[in-house]
Formats: sequence, structure tokens, C-alpha cells
Amino acid sequence: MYKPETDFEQLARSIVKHKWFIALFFAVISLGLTTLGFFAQKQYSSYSTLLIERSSILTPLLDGAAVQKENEPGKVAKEAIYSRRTLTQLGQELGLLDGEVDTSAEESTLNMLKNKIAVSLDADRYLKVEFIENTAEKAFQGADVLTKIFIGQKQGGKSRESEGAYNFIDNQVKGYHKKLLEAEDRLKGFRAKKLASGTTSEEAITQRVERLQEMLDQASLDLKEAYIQKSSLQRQLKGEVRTSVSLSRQSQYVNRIQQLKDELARLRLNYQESYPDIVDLKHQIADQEKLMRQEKRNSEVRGSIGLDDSIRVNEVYQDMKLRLSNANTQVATLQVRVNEMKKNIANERKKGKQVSDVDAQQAELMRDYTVNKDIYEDLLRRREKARVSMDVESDASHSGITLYEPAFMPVTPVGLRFIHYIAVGLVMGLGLPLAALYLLQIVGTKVKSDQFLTANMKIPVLASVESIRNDIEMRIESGSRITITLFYFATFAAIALLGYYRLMGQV
Amino acid sequence: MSNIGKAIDRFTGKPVEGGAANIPGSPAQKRFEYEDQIVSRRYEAQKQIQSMHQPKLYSDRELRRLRFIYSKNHKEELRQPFRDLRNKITLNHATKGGTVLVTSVVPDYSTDIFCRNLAATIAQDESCTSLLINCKQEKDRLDVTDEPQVKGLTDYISNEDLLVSDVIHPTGISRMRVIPFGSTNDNSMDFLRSTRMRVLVKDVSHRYRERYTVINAPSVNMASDVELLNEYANQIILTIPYGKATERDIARAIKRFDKEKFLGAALIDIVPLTGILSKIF
Repeated sequence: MYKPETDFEQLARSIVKHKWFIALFFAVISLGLTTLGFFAQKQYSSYSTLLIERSSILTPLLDGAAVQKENEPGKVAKEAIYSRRTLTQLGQELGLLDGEVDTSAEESTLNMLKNKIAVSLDADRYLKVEFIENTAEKAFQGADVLTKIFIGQKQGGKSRESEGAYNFIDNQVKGYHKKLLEAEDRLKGFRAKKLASGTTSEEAITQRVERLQEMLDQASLDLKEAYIQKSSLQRQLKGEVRTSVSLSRQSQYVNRIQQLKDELARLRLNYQESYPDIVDLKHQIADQEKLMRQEKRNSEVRGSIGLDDSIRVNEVYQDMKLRLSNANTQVATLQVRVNEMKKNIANERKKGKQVSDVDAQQAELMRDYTVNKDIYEDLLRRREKARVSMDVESDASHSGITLYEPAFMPVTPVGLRFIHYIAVGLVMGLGLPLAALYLLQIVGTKVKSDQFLTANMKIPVLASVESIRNDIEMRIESGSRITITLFYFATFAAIALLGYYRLMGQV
Repeated sequence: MSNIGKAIDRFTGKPVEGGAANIPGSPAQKRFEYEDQIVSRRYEAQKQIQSMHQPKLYSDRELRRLRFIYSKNHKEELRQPFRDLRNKITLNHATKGGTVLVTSVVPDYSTDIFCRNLAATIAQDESCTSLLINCKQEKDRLDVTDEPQVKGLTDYISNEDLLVSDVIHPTGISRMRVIPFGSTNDNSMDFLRSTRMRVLVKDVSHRYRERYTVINAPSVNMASDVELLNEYANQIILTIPYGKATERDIARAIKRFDKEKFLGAALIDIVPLTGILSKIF
């Protein structure tokens, strides 16, 4: 695909075609700029460099104190230098103004001065104050005076500010001292009242209630146990008596029956059954057995009957009796204790309610006191720092700004110099028409390339023929070539001539 | 029958007696004999051409004045495109015919110099002749007759009594003839429609086998009648003046041509590079 951007042959042909346009453009631009440079006034620049001490040895010492900290020293300095006050002072010292600015002519003088000043900040701490003038002497004088005015303002301004800060803080300190004393008095009065009323802290009461509650729970538990023990002992004691009575009677009957049966057996060895003793014995045995059965039945139906002596002397019984008595005692004791504790807890709760009111009051007073105290202490610290700042800034050597490099007498002029005008003229004179031709080539729609026809339009190109010239045209062409060469020479000669006169003028 | 007679017969479409196609034998034999015939025909033609009337030849001075390219004065790079073009035209002659129409994409743009150089380059071949027909008012007189006012194309068309031979004039280039535009100052191009114009073109292009006719026609984008020329021309060349036509102009012009006959475009009047620039590119 053919692209006009890369067709430099076409550009070359355009150059040939428009050689006169290029030559004339070149002559106009280069000569025009040279002439401009010829008449352009020289500019001299003098400047002084000020060092802004942002982190001097004092800064860490005075951290937090009322020392003026400039976040953007460059901007602040610019504002100060461009201020009407500074400019007026500068005008006065340079002899351009007498007195205050009150006419429009003087106003324009002020503006002119403003345009001659340049302020810039390098590396965040080197402040360059520059003054530009037509002559070296004026430039130097301007920069020197301006620097002095600026430093003078800076020092005066800073110490004034510190003093103001100190006074303000001092007043605040006094006010807070009074408030603190009042708060202290209130707190004292309250404490005395509290001691008299005998209230303790809410916390202590809570602890005590908790402890009592624990004890109450324990006592209740013990009481329950004692009840259980008591009832169980009573039950056991009853059962023991009944069985022992019944068993002792039954065993008597058994023993008796056994004796009778033994007697009967012995008698049967010698006698018949009809023997009266035997019959008698048999009746006796029958009676006994009857009695025993009755007894058994009775014991089941009736339970215990009156205790007999044998039972009373029974050791187990004695022991049980003793334990039951102990249990009764314990139950009574615990009962009393539980009641007492319940009463205590109720008392403590009542007391607690009163205490929380008192505590709230006390906290209020304490808070008031603490806040006042903190602010007061902080202000005290600040006041001391402000005092130091004031002392430091009243000392001129610590104004935060030092003259790093004083203004100097400039030797070479600044800005566009004559040689620059010539160079720019030559470059632009050739570059602009060439750029224009190249631009036209890109933008143009006219077909100028056989490659375009073949590649983009797919048309076979049979021949590409340069224009055929006759003798007259040839002569004109070569004549034109000589003329154009002469024309370029003339342009260069004119530039050289202007340069020569300029140099002479300088000497 | 003489070779010339045979040539005319072939031209008129009659089968050639004893021609290559009628001889029995191997294909190689056939080809050899066919080529042999062409060579002999060309030789004959050349002999006849040599006997053409040539009153005088241009001097170098006149050649330069008329902007003819010639070896002594011009670089090879300038002559080569015309030779290539000639070769292309003569190569197509057998299949298409020897009438070449040259037109321009830009109205009122002169293609005289391109056409006369094309005709002259064709005439450089000793076995060929060329005829340039100017359908536009030309600036230079190319004929070398002594008459103060020569008869031309428009005269032929307006004057029924004139013969074709009355308007064909010799030039200062060997084997090159010209039909000038004529004395009538008629630029309306209406003559292109006339019957006599058709007769003339048919006559001159079919008279001689070895003659190439170059028609210097009006711009294709100006005269609608130029499409009529599609009829008589066998090959069409579109000239595109350097930096004068847009892509649209060209596309529009090409649309009007018979696709079969359109030979291609020629970029003319390119600004020549001079001095150091001619060495770089």
C-alpha cells in the first residue's frame, strides 16, 4: 500500500517545484528574526539566593512551639515580595518613586517593577530573588535592594508574631488557672460531705452483697441437708424399735416351744402317747405355737408396742437417738443463719442505691477538674515554648532566612541573544516551508505517484515521464538556479552584515 | 503473390496461400517457417518504408525546440519509458491492432508532447511507421512541408473533396507522419461524431500493416464524444499529469473506457529532480 507520508521522492520533487517559495520564505523569516534580534534590547539578570532554614537545629528543640512554620515557603515569599508594600519600598529606594503611590504613572512604574522581578524556590529551600534590567548595574542594584527589603520584613514580622502568640497563651493560662481552682474547691467540699454520710463506694457494696449471697446459698444448702438427715434418722429409729420388740417375743416363744418339744421327746422314750404328761405337753406346745402366731400377726398389724428395757439399752438405738438430737440442733442453727443473711442482703441493697447517686456526682466533679487540669498544664507548656520562640526570633540570626549568596554584578546578558535569533531564523526559515510542503503532501488529494496508481488504484502504469523541456526552458531553469543561489547568498550576506553591525555596536 | 500482397490479404482476413497453417509437417517446422515468413515480410516492409518520401530531417536544434527526446540530448531514464511503451503497443498489435488513443484525465491539458514522442519512438523501429492524428489544436507545427498553411483533420472533415492523402504530412522524423488539427478553429469537438472522421480513422489505421496510429484525443473528462473513439482505437492510454488529477477523476475516466482496450495509465510531466536531489533519488 502506498502512503504519501513515506514518499520522500515526492517531497524532493515538491522542493524543486517550490524552490522559490522556499527561498523567499527563508529570506523573510531569517532576515526578519535577525532584524528583530538586532533591535532587541539586552537583558541583564542579577539575583541573590536566600537559604530558608526549614529544619534548623532549633526546630527539633522547639517542636510544637509557636514557631512560624511555612508549609509553602516559596509561595509565602512570592506573596511577600510581590506585595504592594515591598514594591513601593523598592521603587522608593531605587529612586523611581517619591513617597506613596497616588498617580497612575506611579502605578504603572509599580507594575513595571513587578515584571522585572522573578522569585523561584530550588530544592525546597533555596529562594532565588531575581531582578532583570537593561543594564548590569541596574539589575544588580535592584536585586540587592529587593533582597534587603525582603529579609528586613521577614525578621520584623516573625518576632512580632511570636510575641503576639506568647501574650495570647499567657492570657489563656490565667483564665484556666482560675477555673481549675474553682473545680478543686467543689471537689473538696463534696468529699467532706461524703465522709460524713459514711457511704462507701458502690463497688464495695456490690462485693459484699455477692459474698452474702454466696454464703446464703451455702447455708440454704446446708439447711436442706440437715432436714434430710433429720427425717432419715427419725425414720430409721422407728423401724429399729418395731423389729427388735417383735423379734424378742417371737424368740421367747420359739425357745419355749423347743424346750417343750425336748421334754416331749424325752417322755416318749418311756411313755405311750396317751400318757397324760405327753398329752399335756402337746397342749402346751399347741398353745405356745398359737401364741407365737398371734404375736407374729400382731407385730405386722400393730407396729411397735411399748418399748421394753431390752430395747432401750440397744446400742444402735442409743446412737441413733444421739444423732437425731444433733440433727435437730443443726437445723435450728442453720435456720437462724439463713434468716439473718437474707436480712443483711436486703440492707446492703438499700445502701447500694444511695451510693450510686453519690458516685455519679463525684465523677462529674472529677471530670470537670481533670479536664481543666489537663488544659491548664498544656497551656503552661505552650507558654514556656512561646517564650523561648519569642526569645529566639527576637535574635536576628535565627529568623529562618539567611543570605546564602548576595546579589552580583552580571556580566553576560540573559534571555534570547542575537545569535539565538539568527539560529532560530535559519532553522525556522528552512523548516517551516519544508514542513508545509510535507503537510500538503500528506493532506493533498492530487495523484503524484505511480506507486499510488498501481498499489492503491490497481491501474497498470505504462510509463512515468518527467516533463520534457526545450532549450528556452532549460536556459530559464539554469538561470533560475543561479539566481536562487545568489538569492541565498544575499540573504546570508544580509544576516552577516546585521551580525557585524551588532558586534560593532556592542564594542 | 508478393509478400506485400500476402500481408494485405492477411490483413483483410483472407487465408494466406502457402502460409504456415497450410504446410504439413512437424510443429517446429511450422513455427520456423512461420517466423521465416514474418522476417521476410518485415524485411519487405522495411525496404518499402525506406523508399518513403522524406523531404527533410529535423536538426538537433529543432528536435529540442519541439521537445523530442533523442539520444544525444536526453538521459536514458527519459527515453526508456517511451521504449517500454512502444514495445507494449507493438506486442499487442497482433491481437489488438495498431491504433492507439491517448487521452488526458485533466481537461485542457496538452498531451501533444507525450503523443509526438510516443509516435517518434515507434518510428525509431525501422520496420514500423507511425501516424500522429491531432484532434486538438496543437502549438507546434510538426510537418515539414513548405506550404504556409497545411490541411488538417478539420479541413478533411469539412471539405468533402479532400482525400486522406491530402492531410497526411511528413515530419522531420523518419517514418513518422502527422495529420495536424487543421486550419479550422473549431474546438467544439463535434467533428468527432462525423462520418468522415470515422472513415478517416478506419482508413489510416487499416491501410498499412506496419503503421501505428497515435490519436491525440481530447480529455476524456471533457468531451463525452471521446467515447466514440473507443470504437476506432484498439488500445487506449490515459495520461495523468503529475499533481493535477485526483483519485476520483482517474476512477471516473477509467470507467468510460472499454476495459478490453484500456492499456494503462502514464504519469506525465513529472517535476524533474535537479542538482543533489537527482543524485539522492
